[in-house]
Formats: sequence, C-alpha cells, structure tokens
Amino acid sequence: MKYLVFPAQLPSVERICEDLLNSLLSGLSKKDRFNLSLLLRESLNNAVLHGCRCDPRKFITFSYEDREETFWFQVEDQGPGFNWRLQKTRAPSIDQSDGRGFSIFLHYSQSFHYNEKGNCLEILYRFHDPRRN
Amino acid sequence: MLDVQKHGSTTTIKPLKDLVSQESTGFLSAVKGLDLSMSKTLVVDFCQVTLIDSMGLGALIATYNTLKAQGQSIKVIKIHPEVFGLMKNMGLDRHFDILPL
Repeated sequence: MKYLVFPAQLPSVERICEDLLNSLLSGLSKKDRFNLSLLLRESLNNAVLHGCRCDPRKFITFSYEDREETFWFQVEDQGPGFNWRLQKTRAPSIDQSDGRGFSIFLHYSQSFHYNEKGNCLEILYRFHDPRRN
Repeated sequence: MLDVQKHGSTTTIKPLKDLVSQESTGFLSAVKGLDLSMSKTLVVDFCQVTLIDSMGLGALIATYNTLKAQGQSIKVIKIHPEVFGLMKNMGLDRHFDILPL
C-alpha cells in the first residue's frame, strides 16, 4: 500500500489525480480512466470541500493499492466527519445543485464505505477492461 | 473559458476545458456574465468536455434552474460517451435535453 498526505486545497486534488492517472494508471481503457478519475476526484474533493472546508492547515491522507483487477483507495480527512447514514437514504432532487457524490459512488464503484465518524472513505474499483502495460 | 456564439434566439456556448472542480465555478461565473436576455435557448456544446464531476453537474443544474426561472431552456449537445452515461445515470436527461456526440 502507498500513501500521500496533502493540504486540504483543491489544486492539490487536481495534481494528485493527474499524476496518478498519467503515470500509474496509464494503461487503462477510456472507460476505466473516466470512472476511476471520477471516483478519485469526487472523494478527494469531498474531503477538501466538506471534510476540511478548504482549511490548508488540515491534511488529507490518500492511501491506495493498485492491484491487477482492482484499484483500492482510502481518503481520510482531519475534519469532524458527517452523518453518512442520513446522506445514503437521500437522493438529490434535480433542482439541487449538489449532493451527487453518493450517487456517483453507488454507480461507479464496486463497493464503498465510511468509518463510523464519517471522515474516512474507502472505495474499491474493479476494472472493466484489461490493462495495457 | 467559454466560446460563445449567438444565432437568433439561440446562444451556443462551448466550454474549452473539462468541467471539474474549480473549472465548474469558472463556467458558472462565465455563464452568469452572459447577456441571455434575447435568447430562448442556451445550447451547451460539450465536444471538448471529456470529464465532468459532481461540481460540473452542479454547475449545469444551477444554470438550468436559473434559465427555467426566466422561462428559458438549456440543451447540452455533442456529449462524449462516458460523460453522457454519467449525465443519464444522474437523471439529468429527465429534465433537459442531452444529446450524445
């Protein structure tokens, strides 16, 4: 398992996603690249925006394991957490311009779960297509 | 950054970057800065958008809500397959037209 620690700022998320997808995961099909990029951005952005409220004095730990058929990762922030059980039962209405992170995790990950406090998210992604290495 | 064209009662805008993270905020600000008083429909050309996240979807929905309140409509065209799939999965097609590339 590898991990990165970075300050809670959106440009850091951008850099991590680009670096990871351009190097480590370069052999992915278009579909897998899109799906994984979406999951990474969604979870990291949530940690920055909602978990740490963009406070650069707070840090986010991103751990990951790149396996043959799956990509596992965990995002832990230093924020107070949130009631994810409540969020899980609420689908956003069309007029709502936020709150789609959960739906994205449901549609695009193999599985995901939060810790009790709600400040640590774990996601497992299963690749759809064989990887070219 | 947006490319903007006006033809009669239709204004077409083309985002020139993926609609993710802070780009989405920029998109929303740019749209708010447009004079759409003579337009009935805002067409968003997605041919250069290969990735969108929930912030980008949120920016589209906020635009849809604003236009709807003014009696105007939005249509998103030339959408890449993966982006189109996400927009359908999130149910955006139930509220405004989305057309694949």
